[in-house]
Amino acid sequence: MKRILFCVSTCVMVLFVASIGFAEGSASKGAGKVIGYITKSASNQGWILINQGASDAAAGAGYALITLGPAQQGSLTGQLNAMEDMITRGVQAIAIAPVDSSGVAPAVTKAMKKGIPVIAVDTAVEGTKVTSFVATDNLAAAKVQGNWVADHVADNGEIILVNGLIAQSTGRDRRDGFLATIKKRKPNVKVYQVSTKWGQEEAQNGVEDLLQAHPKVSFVVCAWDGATMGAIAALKGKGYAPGKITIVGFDGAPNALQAMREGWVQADVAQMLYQEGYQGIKAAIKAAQGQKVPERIDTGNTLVTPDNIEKFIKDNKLDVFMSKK
Amino acid sequence: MNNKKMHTFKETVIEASEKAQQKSPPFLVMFTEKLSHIQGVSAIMGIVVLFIVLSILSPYFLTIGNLRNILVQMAVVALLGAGMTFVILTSGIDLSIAANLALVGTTIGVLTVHVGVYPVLGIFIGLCVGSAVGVFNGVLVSKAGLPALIVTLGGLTLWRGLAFQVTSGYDISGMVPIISFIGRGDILKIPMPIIIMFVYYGITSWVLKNTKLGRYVYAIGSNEEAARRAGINVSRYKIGVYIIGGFSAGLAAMVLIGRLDSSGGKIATGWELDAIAAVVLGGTSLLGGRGNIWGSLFGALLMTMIRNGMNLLGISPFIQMITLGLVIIGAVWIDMIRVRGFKRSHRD
Repeated sequence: MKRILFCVSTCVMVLFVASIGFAEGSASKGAGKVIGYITKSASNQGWILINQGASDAAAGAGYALITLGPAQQGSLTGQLNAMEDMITRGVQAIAIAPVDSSGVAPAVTKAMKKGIPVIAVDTAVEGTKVTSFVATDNLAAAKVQGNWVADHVADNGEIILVNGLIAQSTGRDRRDGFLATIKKRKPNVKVYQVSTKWGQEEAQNGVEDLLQAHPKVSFVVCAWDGATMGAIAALKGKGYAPGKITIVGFDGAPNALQAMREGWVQADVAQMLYQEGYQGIKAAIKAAQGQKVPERIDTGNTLVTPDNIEKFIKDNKLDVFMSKK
Repeated sequence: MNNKKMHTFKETVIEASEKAQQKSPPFLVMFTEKLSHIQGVSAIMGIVVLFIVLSILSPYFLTIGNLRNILVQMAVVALLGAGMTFVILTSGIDLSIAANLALVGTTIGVLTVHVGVYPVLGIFIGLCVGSAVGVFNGVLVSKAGLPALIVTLGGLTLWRGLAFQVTSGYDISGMVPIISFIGRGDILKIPMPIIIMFVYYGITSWVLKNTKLGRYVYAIGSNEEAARRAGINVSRYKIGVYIIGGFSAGLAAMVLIGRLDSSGGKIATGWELDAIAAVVLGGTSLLGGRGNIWGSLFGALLMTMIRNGMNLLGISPFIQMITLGLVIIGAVWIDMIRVRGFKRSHRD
């Protein structure tokens, strides 16, 4: 009895190991037109727009799009596992929005080595080459934010800056772009910074604490619209009326735009989020077909203020996302 | 001369010890002895030290406004901690408590904002959902005998996934007035979250001390088998503590979405660990049977003070994480020493 068990288990082990070998070998032989798309996790409205653009691009070109996201927001391992799955499935190209710019490098290298083009969407990949990087130029967009604030803030004004995760290039670029501009044009302005991991509650707590400590603050500048919503909640909590403190957003997310309609947000540097997804997948498809793709595609930004907000919403088909109040 | 020689060594020793016992022990020894009787003394010590340090380092710390901020910001984790205390006292654990909060938060959000249900009804349904998750946990743990760690580990993703599903991944912005009042309103200048927190702690600590449920919770946690043989319906009380955990998550959800003025599947991500940390910092043993509820309040306060201090001083969030981790380990360590020392000095 024991002998039979031993033989059976050995056979199972051998088959298992063999199948791994086969799987590795058959990696890039997947037939059909399939693009893999790895998201950060569609849990804020900005990402829903990006993902919409991505699926439209794939549908338009007749490609199937496999969308995978990490089960937990911000999970690097989740993304690495998703990359492995895509490679095994033999997709023609992979588009990825990295949770951690350096952390995904090993998986990206592996895919590129197997001849699968990789397009970085929204956040850069560091430490290894990618076929193309499709995103808003965050430095340039943050400069636009900085210039608007410099135009409107008093020479010795006080500002709260809510940063995103500095471990990501997106977080770093937005902070650096804003600070460089404001320091150059209005060097006497005081900037108090909040550091977060892109968490809305963290942003709210940070704004509350700093507002309490520095009551002369007149501007709250946010690196993403999750922070914009957190800042608004902080102001509401203090019983402030809309506009008492100027809030400047980033992303152009529908809920922030709605808040602008209500007078809470005075300016928002909107990313062309739909374009990020759309151009990202289009580039992935072109690369999959063997065409050359520019290494950097800037999807641009738009400064949205109450003057042009309705046009912006219409042009970008955001009506459907705006809340019905 | 003869009398002195009659004293044997033994008699001399007895005489000396009798004399010594008549003296009262020095004040410091008595003070430390009394201190070691206080649950969560390490958290309280940490709070006092941090209070002094932060007051020196930042001129903005010791203001009424900032202290009020701290009390408000700690409320949600404190409420979760209250529910978690009951569960941990029975040697259980509830890793899904924050995901449960998200589910209740999104349920209330969708029902009151999108569907337009009467707010009070929406809140009632939300609390039922939270408690129902508690029933789910409790039944699987006590009747099916599944380890609490596994059931609630699964729940961690299950309930949050459901929360995302309920909102289709969107955030709901702008809560109804009663929810906004719970999160941002005040009575006699005291913010609602603070009132809710203290009232809930008052009720739960009364329950733990003065009711059958409370006594049985400690009994089950100390020695489940002995409790069962003593005739306690262990299953019923275990389900009961998980329901309390779920209800606490529901209450915490209302306060959180009121504060955020929005609701979505990702709220309170990872806060189950904050809740456990609050309970542990408060002196409750993870093995069950020992602890009290006010300790969890101090635990939540300590963690929020650290975060608040870091915000005021502009310290990076990574240093915040390192500090919190070290504080938790340190506090549990100190508590272990305290308990061992306590046992040693009372061994006879």
